[in-house]
Amino acid sequence: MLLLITTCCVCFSQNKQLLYGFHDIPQTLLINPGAPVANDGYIGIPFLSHIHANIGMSNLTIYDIFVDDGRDFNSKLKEAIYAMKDTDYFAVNQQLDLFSAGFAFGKGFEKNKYISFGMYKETNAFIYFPKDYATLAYEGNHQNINRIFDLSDLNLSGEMLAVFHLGFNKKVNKKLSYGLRGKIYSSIFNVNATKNSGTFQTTVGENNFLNHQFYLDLEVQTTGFKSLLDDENSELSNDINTIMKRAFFGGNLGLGLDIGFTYNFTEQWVLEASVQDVGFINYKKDVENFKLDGNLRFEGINPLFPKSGEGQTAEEYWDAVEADFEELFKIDTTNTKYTLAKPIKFNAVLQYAFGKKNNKECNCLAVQEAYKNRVGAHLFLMQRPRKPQAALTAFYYRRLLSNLGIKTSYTLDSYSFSNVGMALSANIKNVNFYIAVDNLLKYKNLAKAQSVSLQLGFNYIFKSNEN
Amino acid sequence: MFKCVLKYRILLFFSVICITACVSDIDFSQSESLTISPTLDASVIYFDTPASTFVGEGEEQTIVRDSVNVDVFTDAFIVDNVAKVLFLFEATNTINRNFQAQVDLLDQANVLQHTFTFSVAASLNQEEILAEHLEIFENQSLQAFKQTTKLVITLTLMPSNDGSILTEDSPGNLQFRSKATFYLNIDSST
Repeated sequence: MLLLITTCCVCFSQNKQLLYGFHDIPQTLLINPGAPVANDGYIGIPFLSHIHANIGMSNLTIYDIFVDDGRDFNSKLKEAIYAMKDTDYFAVNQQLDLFSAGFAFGKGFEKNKYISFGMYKETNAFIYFPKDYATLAYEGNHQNINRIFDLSDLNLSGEMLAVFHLGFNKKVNKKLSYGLRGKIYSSIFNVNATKNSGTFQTTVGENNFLNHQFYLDLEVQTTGFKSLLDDENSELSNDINTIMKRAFFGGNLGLGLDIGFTYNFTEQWVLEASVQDVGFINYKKDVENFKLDGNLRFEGINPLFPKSGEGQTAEEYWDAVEADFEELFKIDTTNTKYTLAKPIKFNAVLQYAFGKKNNKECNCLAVQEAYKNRVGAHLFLMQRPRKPQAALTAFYYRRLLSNLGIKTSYTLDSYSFSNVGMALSANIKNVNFYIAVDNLLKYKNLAKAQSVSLQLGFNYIFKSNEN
Repeated sequence: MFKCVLKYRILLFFSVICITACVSDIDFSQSESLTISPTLDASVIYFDTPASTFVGEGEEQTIVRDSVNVDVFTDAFIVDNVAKVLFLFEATNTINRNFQAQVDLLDQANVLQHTFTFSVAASLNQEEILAEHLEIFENQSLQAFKQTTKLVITLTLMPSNDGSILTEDSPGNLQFRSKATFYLNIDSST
């Protein structure tokens, strides 16, 4: 159970396929600022309005390696490593709403504009499987003469940041709504090593059996770690203060924009699309970068057999070789500032509503909300260093009661082809509660899941249009 | 009433998922037995020296010697993880003389830890005569290897059968190639 709670806390994927288009939930506006709004205002319950966590590994599960089946651990690990490619990855994404709220305004009876704002904390980590490093560590170069080990396989990024956001949504007419959300990113930590290159290769040498060639151009950029690690007084409270200051504009800042719309072709056919996090963060405070840069070809040591009293001996020669190697593997530390673009996320949903609800209970703003059922397809794309992460979801939404909606989804992505998820949103009096869980088929044994994702939250809703 | 029942059923469904979700048949302590055994090849010494190397001030030099400092073998990573080392030497001779090659392994205090020799046969008509030697470091010799900070290579020119001596103009070369193969055994439990 404890594990479950931990999982729940870590379980909201970058792909929020269950939340997207679930208009009963105010937080859908965080994914599509142009989504139809189903309330006159809301206040997120502080710290509880949106808890999202997701962990995913492509092509690998904990079960694959750690299953207690009596087989040798090393052979299981080896199998797993050999099955993985350099495009396989491990991803963590966690989001926690600290506060959020929204309200409708506009002239006349039907308020057609909506402002929403808030702050959330976000943690991301994205690590590609360093295939060639793993192969080299596993096999060595002995059986890999002529093989080029690609050092760009070291590709990872991670960050923790606070995001302050303000969004505007407008329903233009019965057919079209659009919205924008501006964001200020306040970075707490960042580590980035996504532009590495280099190779290591052992070939048959000209003068000796082997020739070793090193081409290294590797860099890890970090911000936010140096001052905390260098800290002479190691009091935790000081560190927490530093982190809080950074979360509230005291660190490295950036700007971003979300943009989205909803278009009703007919009462029943609706297209929704949005782009999130078009923006950047400028890292200039507390930067520490580590760079490994150099080339070397090494065939061995060449003794010179000096005649007595003459010239250089191989000892001196070796000293020079040693210096070459030291230079090659010397890590340069710099404080050069850097700017990183946020990975852009794209969502689009095409859905069809049917089964009109002949019920006075619903006087929904969105025309489509009058229907009991919705089916649709959802495409999610996200920028990643090697290739975009993509997911395609088919979903079915049903309004069971005026204050209870449920959505099931089937998702194809790089993690698996069998991800079934379910979400529900219930309004009990003025309190909205929602929960979404993913990979239900794997819940009997989470260790077999390549990814798990969970979202939940509580909001206080003003005059929900659903009631 | 029906609505209520329905609502509670769904909530129940989610609760059941949450309660029944579990992780089973998993044993993380297995990672303690992690062992990886890569094999690394590295070039060591090479040279290509003409017959005239063995002539100094008009006289034949019977012995030439040079030494190479190495601090890699005593590196903690090597000491802790290397299970076996192979040294492969290959000599190609086109000089019309027999040689003996000797490799001494010395520690920090210049104390001899290990030594081995091998012979290279003479080349009568400058055809390439090959000699190979494989030195295996295991157990005791491996311990000696792991204390080595200096390699001394001594080439001894053996007397010729016909009494001839080498001069500055004697034809031929002595070529040496070598590599080391390190068998590692990296065990997480140690």
